[in-house]
Amino acid sequence: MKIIIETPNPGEEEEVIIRCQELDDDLLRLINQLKSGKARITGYQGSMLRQLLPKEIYYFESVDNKVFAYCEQEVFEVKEKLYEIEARFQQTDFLRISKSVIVNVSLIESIAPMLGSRLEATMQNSEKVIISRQYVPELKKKLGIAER
Amino acid sequence: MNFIKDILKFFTFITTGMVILFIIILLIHGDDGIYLSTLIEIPCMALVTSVLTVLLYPSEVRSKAAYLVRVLVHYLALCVVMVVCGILFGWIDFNVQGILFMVVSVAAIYGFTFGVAYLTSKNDADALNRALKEKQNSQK
Repeated sequence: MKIIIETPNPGEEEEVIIRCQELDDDLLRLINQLKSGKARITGYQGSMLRQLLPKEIYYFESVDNKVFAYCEQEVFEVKEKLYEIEARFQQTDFLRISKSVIVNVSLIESIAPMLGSRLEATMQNSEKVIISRQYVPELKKKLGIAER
Repeated sequence: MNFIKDILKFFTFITTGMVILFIIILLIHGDDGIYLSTLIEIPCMALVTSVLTVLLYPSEVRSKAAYLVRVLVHYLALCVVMVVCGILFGWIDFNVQGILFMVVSVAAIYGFTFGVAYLTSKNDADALNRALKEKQNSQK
């Protein structure tokens, strides 16, 4: 595939043009990554407000009807509902792994088995999140493992 | 859909566990007390306990203590169902020895199911770790 990078004239908007025969899954994922790469999520920490990049969020968790975004060391409350986040980042590396958690798959360090058909994901910041058995097939699909 | 898939999965595990248990009983005691109807009763019992497992078995519990409490509740519920069905099907006598036998049998099937489920999870984890490694390498 040929990649051409051009510098726009001063004042011109930056744009990405994709010329392809057909839009396959890989290309759609790439387009969504480009879109979500520019997306920001507003995180609240007391009176402080921060625009979070999706790639710096390890996982989202819903606790007592509030949704929190867990970054490497900090935790922010977000105003969006978990299902809204799930829909917004559907074609990206985010994936629901239990009723209350959406994880950034690209920031998972490793996965270990647990009793009761569950799995435990260790994130790159050493935090651990539980993957419910109902969501394992989706995780496999996300990582390109064909279901038996 | 996942609900039905889970029921089928547990149904397979529990039926296999019960069949193994019955084979052991047959080997120890001969065919005394085990009839053709047992072949129908085993899947019936397995279906009831599978539904119970999917409904009661904890999958979203985070703390270990809460998980163990839920497992204990699930085990006790299974024991109640198995003892009642066991008496109804004539598998056991309604006395302490019969009930104790069923409680121990449930523990054995529980252990078998736990073991198989853990091995399945381990295989899943291994496959996922390999895929994660590939993903991480391709992003470098």
